[in-house]
Order: sequence, then C-alpha cells, then structure tokens
Amino acid sequence: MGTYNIEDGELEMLALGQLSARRERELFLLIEQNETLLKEYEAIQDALEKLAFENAVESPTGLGVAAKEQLFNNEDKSLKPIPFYKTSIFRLAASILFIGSILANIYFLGDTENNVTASSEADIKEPTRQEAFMAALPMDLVEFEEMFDYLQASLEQNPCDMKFTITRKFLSERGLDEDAIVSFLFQEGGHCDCEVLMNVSMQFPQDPYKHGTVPNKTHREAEIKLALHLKEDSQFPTGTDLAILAFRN
Amino acid sequence: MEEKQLLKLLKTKDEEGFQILYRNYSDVIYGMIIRMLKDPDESADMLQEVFVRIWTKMDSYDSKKGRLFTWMANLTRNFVIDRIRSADYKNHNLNYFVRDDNVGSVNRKFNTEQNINTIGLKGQVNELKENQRVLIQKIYFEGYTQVDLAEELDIPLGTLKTRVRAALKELRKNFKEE
Repeated sequence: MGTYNIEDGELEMLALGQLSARRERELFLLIEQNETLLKEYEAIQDALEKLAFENAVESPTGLGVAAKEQLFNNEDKSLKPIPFYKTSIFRLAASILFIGSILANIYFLGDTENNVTASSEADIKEPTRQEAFMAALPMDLVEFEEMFDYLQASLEQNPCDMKFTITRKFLSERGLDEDAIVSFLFQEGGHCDCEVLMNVSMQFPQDPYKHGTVPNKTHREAEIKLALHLKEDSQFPTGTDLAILAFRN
Repeated sequence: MEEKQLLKLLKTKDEEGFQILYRNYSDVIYGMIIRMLKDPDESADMLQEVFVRIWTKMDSYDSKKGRLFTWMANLTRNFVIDRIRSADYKNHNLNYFVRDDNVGSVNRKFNTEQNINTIGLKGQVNELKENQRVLIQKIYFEGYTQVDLAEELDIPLGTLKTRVRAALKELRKNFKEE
C-alpha cells in the first residue's frame, strides 16, 4: 500500500475545492486516519464558512418559492379539491351507464358479432384473392377454357414432358404472348403442362355441384387415364392429382 | 436546527428540509454567485439553478468528506464556472467575464479593480494584508483555479499554496480573536 504525503497548503486547497478528484481521495484517506489533520481541516472549513457568511448578500425574494415549486411541482393551493360526496351522484350515474353499456354489448352483439366477423373475413378474403386472379388473366376466359381442353386432349395421348410444350404450342397457334402467359401460369402453380391443367384450372370459379352434373363415364375414364399417366411418370404429386379427381367425381 | 438534523431531512428529500436549507444558505450562496457573475439578474437565475442542483445532488454528499457548506460552496463555484465558460454565456455576456481559460485575453487589472469596487468584501478578510486579501477574494469568491491564479500572479503553484495557507491562517486567527 502506498503512502501519501501532504504538501503545505493542500488542506486549504482541499477545502477550496481546488484539487483533483484523485488527490481529494488521497487526502481524505489521510485525514480520516489522522486526528490532527482532521481538526486542522475542520478549522479551515470553519474559517471559510464564517468568511462566506460575513460576505452574504441578501438574495432576491421569491426565488426560494420558485425553486421549491420547480422541485416539488406544488399545486395551486387556491384550487381546493372538491369533496367526494359532492361528486358521488355523478360517479354513480357514470358507473351505471358504463355497466349498462357493457351488458348491452354482451346481450345484443355477443356471439352474433363474432359470427358476423368470422364470416365477413372469409367472405372478404376469398373473393379478394380470386378477384385478383381473375383481374390478372393474360387472355380471355374462353381461351383459357379452350387451352385446358387442348391440354387435356393432348395429355391423354402423350404424358407430360415436364415442360410447357403443349401449352406453348397452343399459345403459338393462337398468336398469343407465350412468355407472358407462361409466366402467369407458372406463378399460379402451373409449372408444366399437366400442372397448368390441374392447378391453374382449379383457380377459376367453379360452378356449384347440382344433381345430375356428375361427369359421364367417358369423361371420368379420360381423367383417370390422365391421372395414371401422371402416376406412371412419378414426377408429380400424385396425391394432389388423385384428390382433384376424387373431388371431381 | 443542527446540521445533522438538517441532513436527515435533506437525505429523505423532505420539503421542509429544502425550505430550511434555502433560508439558511441562500444569502451566502448568492454572495458568492454575484461576486463571480457581477450581474444581479444572472445571479438570481443562477441561485435558483444552484439550489435545484444542490437538492438533486444531495445523495452524493458525504459528511465524512467535509461540511455541508464546504460541499455546497464548491458545487456552487464549479457550477458557476461551468456557466461562465459555456459558449452561450460567453456570447451574450462577454462584458461580465470574471475570468477566462484564455488568461491573456482578459484585462485582468480592469477586472480586479471592478471586482473590488463593485462588490467589496466585508468582515475579517479586510483585516488581512492587501496581497492576502486579493488571494482569498480571487480564489474563494471569484472562481479562479489555483493554476490560473498562479499564472496570473506569475508565481509557482507551490508558492501560491503556501500564500493561501498563510492567508487562511491569519484569517482563522482573526476569527478567534473576535
């Protein structure tokens, strides 16, 4: 442990706040351990305090109140609080109205509101997505229907080659923008000819099932044949295809 | 009220403690501030700020390291010096400079005369020799640092300390004889 020395006049400088924080700490350590130094330091402080009091100057009035208000954020004493009993009738009325409004909400809205909300969300979301799809169609609806028929007929003859060969052929024959339409089909889940037929076609609005609209035997056989083609090719999610067929049947 | 009791109130942030503190020390602190700033309006604003600062810093006061007044006086001096050195203060109040870091740029002789003539010191300090009185005035009331004062008086720092010690010894003797 190091030892500290005290220089002439340092105690005075300490009381005058003239020393560095480090030197102050060193001197305080010395003072704490030495009663003579402590007494000397006390005497210096005493003299400086007397000197300051002798040279006091009367401070402007009102500053103390301002400082106090700044610190304690005093409220205006002239504003007396209103007694509780004088406001109790209003408090009671407000409470009754509040509770009444809650009960009315529960009674009148309750589950109905939830149902309305839930169904509204479904109603809103579904048409919105389909509307966006329909709005973005790159060719006429009739041309889509003809393209799907063309794809179906072609895929019954030859299996899908995992490209857009048949689709492009159809578009080319019609003089349509192949790249733009294929890009649209790709975005909508049609990554090859058979996927265009199975995935994209499903995104068009479907007529609700009515009695007697079950596909005839020939149509069903054609679709099963197509599904078997896809299964044999084994590069497609046959589960999806079969599910589509099952749904159609 | 004794200092210990007052400290108890101050440490618990008691409003009454603040009132007593202000009542007991506002004139003394104001006497120090106005001798440094020389302007009553500035000094009044500063007094309020200083007391708010004293109150908010009260937790950092340690009675083992000196008296409450010593702590308050040093805090006041440092606070006022910081204000004098601040750019804002320099810009709008250059004429009231007591001192500056750039020692040579200030007409010190003028300042010294102004200080003495404007707000003279009272009491036992006037019984000191002229050179001792000026030392006490500058270092205790006008916010000089020991380094600046030694430079201005063109004496070594050690000599300054010895002279301040001698001045304070004399002052203590005068107070004892009162």
